Amino acid sequence: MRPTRRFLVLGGLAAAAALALLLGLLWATRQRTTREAWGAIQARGVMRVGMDASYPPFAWVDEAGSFHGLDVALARALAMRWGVEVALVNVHFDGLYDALYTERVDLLLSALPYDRMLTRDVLYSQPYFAAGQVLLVPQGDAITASPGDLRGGVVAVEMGATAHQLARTLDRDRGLAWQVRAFRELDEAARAVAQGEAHALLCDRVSALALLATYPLRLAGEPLTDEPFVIAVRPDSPRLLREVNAALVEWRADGTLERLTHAWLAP
Amino acid sequence: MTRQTRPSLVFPLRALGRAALLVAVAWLLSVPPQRLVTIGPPQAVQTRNPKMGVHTRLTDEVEEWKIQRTLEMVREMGAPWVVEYFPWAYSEPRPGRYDWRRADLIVDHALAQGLRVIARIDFVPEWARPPETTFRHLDPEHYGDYARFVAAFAAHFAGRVDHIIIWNEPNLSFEWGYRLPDPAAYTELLRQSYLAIKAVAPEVQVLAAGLAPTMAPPGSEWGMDDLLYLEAMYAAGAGPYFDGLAMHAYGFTFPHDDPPARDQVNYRRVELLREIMVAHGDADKPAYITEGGWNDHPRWAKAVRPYQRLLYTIGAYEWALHEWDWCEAVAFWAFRYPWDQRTYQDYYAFVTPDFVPKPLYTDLANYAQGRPYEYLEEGP
Repeated sequence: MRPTRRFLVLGGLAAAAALALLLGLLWATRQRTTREAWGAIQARGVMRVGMDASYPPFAWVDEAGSFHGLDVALARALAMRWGVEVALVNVHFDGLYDALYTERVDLLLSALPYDRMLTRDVLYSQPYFAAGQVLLVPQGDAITASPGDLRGGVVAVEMGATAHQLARTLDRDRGLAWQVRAFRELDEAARAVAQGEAHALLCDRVSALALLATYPLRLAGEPLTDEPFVIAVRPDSPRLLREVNAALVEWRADGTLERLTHAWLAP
Repeated sequence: MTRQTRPSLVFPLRALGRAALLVAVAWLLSVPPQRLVTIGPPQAVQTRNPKMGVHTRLTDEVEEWKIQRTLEMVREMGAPWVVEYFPWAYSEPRPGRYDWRRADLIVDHALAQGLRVIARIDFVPEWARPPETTFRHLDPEHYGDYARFVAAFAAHFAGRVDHIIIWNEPNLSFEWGYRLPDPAAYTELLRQSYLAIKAVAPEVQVLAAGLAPTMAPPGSEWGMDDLLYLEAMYAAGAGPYFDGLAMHAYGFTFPHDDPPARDQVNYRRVELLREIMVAHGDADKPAYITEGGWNDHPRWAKAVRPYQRLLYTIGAYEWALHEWDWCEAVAFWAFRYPWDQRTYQDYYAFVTPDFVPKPLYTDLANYAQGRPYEYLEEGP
């Protein structure tokens, strides 16, 4: 059967439409590729890191304008690993995500808590720090490893802190019969535990690591709450996320992450 | 023997049953669920400080009983004023198609608790901004859309909401769609909004936006000094187009009575804004603190300890009551979030998402009711 003229015309139109569709898809893919922050960083030779540098010991700026802190060290280590320069962009916390969306920065590294409400808007890395609430007990206490081991005990907290609320909630929900003693200053609470006036101190892990350098206390068990700090990139930058995660995995395995954390959080 | 078969009734009965079931399901789906929460009888706020207020964050609160409980707790604390955020995009998802149900819910519950509502309106719908822009991006060709919306809001809530804030912190680039702050452009937005509101609800008080207290250096890509911005607004002719000024009064690391200075961001910096108002002939216009307060995050460099926060907050309410006759209300950020933000913002809250009062709330209620403090050893 010979193809009719109409058949040929329709076939030609269909082929043209398919070609146009294919070209459109290629163009869209290229657009996505060019927006991938990894490629932009490599092309620019500079990685722009968004952070609010007012959160010591994670990030702060000294009077000379120099950046310091764990997040700053991690940003510099990433840049060195990738062979690029680093530009630290100091943005107020409220503007961090918008700075990322509008491509003012390539990634956010700013003691950033994992936010389950934003997982459609950004890609989060693996955690690089766990900032939950922890128990500190005297070094001489070799037994306490969980709240249940302190049943009927005196637990010191800073008045009004998150730990204060958590202590009351744990006491109520688990029937621990704790006597919660609230101090105006965290140092007062730590001193009370070190001097035997309270059995344990409940506080956040960042504060705890700093207190360990001053008082004869030890961490008792794992954090009681889950507050991971993560790095965020735009959803169109999966390659950058893979590179960030690869670095974190390697640094966790070879001890780099622990060394940096200890250097900045528990000097 | 042959079996006689009769026409079966099973099939038509089953079909009839299924049809009835479908009708019942359709009816159940079409009937709106009965409200589980009632507004309740009108309440009144008992307080020794009628300027006390808080900024609530009910925008994304899903459950009505939580909206009600939040506002009950505001009343029980002794604060007669609330500032609430009413996103434009939520109430006008398509041009000219208004949906006030959610805003009505919040306002009606607030009024039932005896609270006065100040409405802050921004959040640009997608249809009113270019693609790939943030929800704070509004181009001049859409100023009229915004003005039309705030006028519709004012008309709908006439007699229920007496104060409307036009935009929020336009002196920050990220609040201005990540563009350089532009006082003249904001003044034009304010002018169009003011005229539109007054045309439909002349009794509504139009408040110029609270400016972010900042000392950003000239030319900064992130923001503009709030004092310079207000001066520039007046220079652009903003004076006739607002009935009052919203102010943001954050104390950061300074006590409530720390004196104001141009090179200092503290609670009393608003006195400098007030001086600018007076210098431009606006001494008769009131001001409203619609954000402010102290944060007690354990690591933020601009935070204080929880005990200090309690002391300063009570001191700040007292300061406004006795020292600022030009200030009508002091609404501190932020009463409660619908869920943990897991950021420094949680440390501005007065109660937790599950309504557990912080010591701050407890002693503020004691302050407002004239009862002895539970956590403070002595008042400010």
